[in-house]
Parts: sequence; structure tokens; C-alpha cells
Amino acid sequence: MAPSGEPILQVKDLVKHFPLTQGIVFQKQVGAVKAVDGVSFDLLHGETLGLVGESGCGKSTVAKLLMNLEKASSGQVLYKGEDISKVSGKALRAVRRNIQMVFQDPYTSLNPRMTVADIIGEPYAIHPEAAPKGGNNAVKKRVQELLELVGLNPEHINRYPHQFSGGQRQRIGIARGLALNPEIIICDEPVSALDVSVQAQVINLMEKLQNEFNLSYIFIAHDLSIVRHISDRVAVMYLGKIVEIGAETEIYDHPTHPYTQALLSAVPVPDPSGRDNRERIILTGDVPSPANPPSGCRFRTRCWKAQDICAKEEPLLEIRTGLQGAAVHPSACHFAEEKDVVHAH
Amino acid sequence: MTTNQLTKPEPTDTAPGAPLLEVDDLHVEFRTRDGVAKAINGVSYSVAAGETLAVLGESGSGKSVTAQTIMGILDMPPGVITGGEIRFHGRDMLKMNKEERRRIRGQKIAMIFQDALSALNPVYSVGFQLAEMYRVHKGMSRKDAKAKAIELMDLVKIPAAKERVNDYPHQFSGGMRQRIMIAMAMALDPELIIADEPTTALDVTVQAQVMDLLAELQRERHMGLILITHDLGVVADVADKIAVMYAGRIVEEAAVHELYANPAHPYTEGLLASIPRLDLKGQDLYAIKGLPPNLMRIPPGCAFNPRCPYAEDICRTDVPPLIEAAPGRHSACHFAQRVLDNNGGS
Repeated sequence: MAPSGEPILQVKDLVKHFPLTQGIVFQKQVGAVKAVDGVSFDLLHGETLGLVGESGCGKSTVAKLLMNLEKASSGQVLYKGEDISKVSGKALRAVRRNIQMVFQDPYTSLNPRMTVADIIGEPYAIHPEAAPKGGNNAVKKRVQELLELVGLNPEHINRYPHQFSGGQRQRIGIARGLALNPEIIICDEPVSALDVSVQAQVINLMEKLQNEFNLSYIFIAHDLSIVRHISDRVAVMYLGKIVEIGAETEIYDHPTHPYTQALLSAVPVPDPSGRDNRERIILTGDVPSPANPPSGCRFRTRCWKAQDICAKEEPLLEIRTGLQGAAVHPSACHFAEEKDVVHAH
Repeated sequence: MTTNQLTKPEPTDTAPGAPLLEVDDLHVEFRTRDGVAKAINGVSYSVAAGETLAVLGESGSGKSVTAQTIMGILDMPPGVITGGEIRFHGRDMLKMNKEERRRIRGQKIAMIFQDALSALNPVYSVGFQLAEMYRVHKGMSRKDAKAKAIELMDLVKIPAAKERVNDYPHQFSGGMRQRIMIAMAMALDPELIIADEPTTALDVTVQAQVMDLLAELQRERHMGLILITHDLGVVADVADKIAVMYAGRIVEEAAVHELYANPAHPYTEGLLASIPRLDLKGQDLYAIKGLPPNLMRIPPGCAFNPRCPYAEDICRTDVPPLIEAAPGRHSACHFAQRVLDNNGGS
């Protein structure tokens, strides 16, 4: 289903700083890990927004903030106009019914002592108003329907997680996410723990479910080719900030931020032809610590374009002048320019 | 910041037909309380000096167990080598005594592990651990060994090696730790390196750095490299030839370009087809149906038959041998020719 114009989720200048403290009895704050530092984006109805970046760039923290699993330091997360970073209690529960999450590791995100029926049925215990009418039998029937929906045998309802393979467990996680008929599902690395041949099965299932229920996905992953396959739009994060955002072809075929270009060129392409004359941008060094990010542009310490202005002035995420065609999309670089990189297929 | 051409190792210039290492019909099983898991069921491959062999497979395919058996670090029990030979320079290592094997391990064949944090000892400084190689194997003094350790850290491009030599593993980033693993493997100038998923735990930008370094060192020193991975992209970038493993057997072996252009086994074909591609955006990905088999209950006949679109009756009864399907290419499939033709002929 094509995404429609209205945003279902609006994120405005979201910030999360984790305090660093010193001392045991008299704790004082000596700094902060700026995990998410001013992130803004919209999620449209029925769309998939891919969120990519290296480990430590804050993608998973964003996911937690969207669910209000972490309290934001500042900023807003508007679900249909209501700021969910401020609500709590009953109101929060009502919001969470519509925003569900699928986790990365299907081995640890399912309770080993609960049966599949308990795991998938638990959302109904927490949200009785959403439970199917007719008591336990109705819930059981609904769980079986969900199992069938995600391609599992409904007769396995009394089995435990360890009796399933990794791919099947991820399907259980998805079924649990679907139980309350949410509108948004936040998927935090949903396939990275799975074998190559099983990844495709789970991706196909997620696309099928999106079409069937008109779901909006926020899809967090580090595998750029999978993100490209499933996403309508993509946001690239670096050290707690979005450095570039745009439609999937804008990001992959016409990247303008040096970090996006380096990231794309670093992805190994599963095609040996042409590997000898491929140009690669190999970044030097590591990602700086988010507790002490560089001044100005955070990428400047690893950037080959960096000049004095990059250390002084922080580039805003905005449409840059002098670009043409698909390169016209928000990019946080003073020297944004399109570069033809060998991109992930 | 460097921009450089990705280069691959020069072709080998040692006598052709004299491989460095040959694994010949290796069988390994694990005897556990729950039953016998047949992890390796007749694996054969060879590597020459200067050559990169990629062993590609999913978890449980036996790729790491083969490597551990070559290194002689397989847990025995429960592991049992039930047959086969591993020849290094023509001599069967499985028949050597402990002392002989130890002289090969580390000095002639070295290994790089996936998770550098758990492979390094957290209570010793990295300099100590690197120097240990020289003290134990070469009998150097502490001072000389430490100087060598700093040299090694320079070799793998760790910035400010002199200052960091006394740091502990936790003080390094993931990419730097993996560089230290590589330095440790390089220490005694081995002829063969086995790298078991060396970059799986790393981010792509760091992965590119580490793979670059590994390829460069291999080229300079003309070493053989066995690269174990599940990542089709990494393999395409660096390998000369590829062995694809499934359920403890090699199902296809070929030079890298041929294998990607025209797979000769349905499993390889399926893996390549399941990679998201630009022209298939918006469509379903090709998915290999079903799951990898349980090694305690490998299906009779071809282990891949329950998941295979080509399967016929013969596949459920006869194990297909790994035979030449086309010049220079081997496939363990009864219908290899049909798979080849299906992908554009050869």
C-alpha cells in the first residue's frame, strides 16, 4: 500500500542525554553521553522509514524513546498530535497499544518459561480492552490465528521458545507485536541475528503484513541492502544526529553527505565482477565518543572534506543549495555534493 | 582519510599443484548425551600460498568446526574425528604427535577469531599478549619481545603504538581489538591464516578497514588465507575461490567469478537469489523454504533435498558426490547441469 500524505508520528528535536556521574554517596554529574541529540523526522501512514548507522549512533535509543521506554531529555514525539513523551499511566498504555516493537534477538526477547500462547496472549492481559470478547477461549483462538498469520503451525501453541528455530522465534516476536492491531511497529534489527537463507523469509513476511494491515514501520538495521529493499524513506544517523534523510533512491543513488557516501561504499557488494576497479572510501579511525563529541560537525574528524567552518559551525539538516534532481534532499553538510558511489544493490 | 582502489592478491607464483594445506575427506562428529551430531561429513578443500579460499555457510554448516580441526583446537570429547586427512606441506597433521602439532600451530598456521574481546585475555595488556608469542616460541627476552610487539602494532596500523602497548583489551575499540588479533596471528610469520568470521562483529566502515589490512598483509607476505564467513558480500570482495558448505559437506566449489555469475548448486543459487537487488524492489525476496537440518537427523540422500526446488526421487535416496560439473567447477548435486543451464548456461 502506498504511504499516504499525513504523518502518523512526528518526532521533533528529540534529545536523550544519559548522565555520567561520579562519587558514590554524593553523586554529581560530570558529563553526559549525548546518545540522541536533536533528531527530527516524520513517519507517514503506511510507510517504512529505514534508520541506518553504525553501532553507538543512537538508533536503538531513538526506538526506545519512540516507545517511551526511555524518558526523553527534551523534544517531542507526537503520535497523532499527542506528545507521548509527556504522558504516563493509562494514557501511555493507550498509546502503546498502537506502537509495538519487534526486537533484534529472538533468543532473549522471549521469556523461556512462557509458552507461545502466554507470550502472544500477554498483550491481551495488559490491554484487556483490546482482548477478543469471550474469555480465555477467544484469546486462544486469536493467538492461533496470529500464529497462522506469521506462518507458524497453530497447533504449536503450547510449545516453549527453545523448541523453535531463530527464524520461527522472530515470527513469534512479530505475532506478539501484531496482537493488539497496532498502527506502528518499530523493528530494531529484526533480521540481523538470523541466517541468510532465513532473513529473506522474515522480510517477506513483514512486507506482507504491512500490506495487509496498512502498518507503518520504523526499520532499524545495519544491513544497508535490506534497508533499501524494505524502506520507502531512509534516515542516516551519526553520533546521535540524522545527517541525511530522503527517499530510498535519493539516499542510495544520490547521497550528498560524505558519511552516507563512505557508509555506502564500505558495504561489500555480493558481485565479484568489477571489484578490482571499484573506488572505495575507507574511513580512518573510529566513531568519537558520544560523551565528548567534536565541535561543529560531528563527522569532521573522519571527513576528507573538513575545513575550518566544520569545526566552528554545526551544519543543519536542510536542503542545500546548488544541488539538482534527486540530490535535493536534507543533508547536514556544509559541502554537500552528490558523489557517485558504488552502492549496495 | 584515504581513498584507494580495492586490490586483490597477486596470483600465486609457487609451484602450481603444490597446495599448502589439503583437507581430504574429513569426518567429524560430536557424541553428546542427546545423540550423535554429524558436523562434518566428508569435507575436502585445499589452499595454496598466496591464495584466498572463502568457506561460505550458515550457522551449523560445519565451517568453523573444520577450521578448529585444522588448528587442532577441537574440543575432544565430545568431538571425534572419524576419518580423513589434513595435510600441511603433504604431511598428515592428524597423525603427528602433540609436540609436532604445536610447532605448526601459531608458527605455520595461525587463526583469527570472530570475537576479539573474548579471544584476548582481559587481565593482561595487549603488549604482554603480543610479546608472549615471541617469548614462548622464540625464547626472546622481555625487552626484545616488547619491542617486537610495538612493531607488530605498527604493522597493523594502530595509532600511537608505543603509548598503547600497555593498554588492556577493554581500552580498545572493536576494530582496534580485531587489528590486535591480526597482529597476533602475524607475529610468527605464518604461511597460512585461518580467519573465522573476522569482521562479523564490526560495523561496515570498520569492516572495510580490517578486510583491507588483512588483504594487504596477505599480499605482502604471500600467505594462504582461509576466510570463513556467511557474508556473500565480503566473499565477493576478497576471495579467489569459494567452497560453499551445507550440513557438513561442501556442496559447491568454484572460482569466485564463476560462482557468482552462474551457480551450479541449488543452495548457492538460492543464497544468491535471496540477496535484495535493486531491480526487485517492491517484490518479494526469493526465500529458500524451510530451515537448515538438525545435524542429528540429516535427511537421507542429499541433505538439501527438503528445501530444494529441483529435488526428485533420487535426491531422497542417493547422496550426490562432489563432482566436476563444468571445467574447474565442482557441485554436489544430481542436477548440477540443470542448475547451470537455468542460470544462463556455461
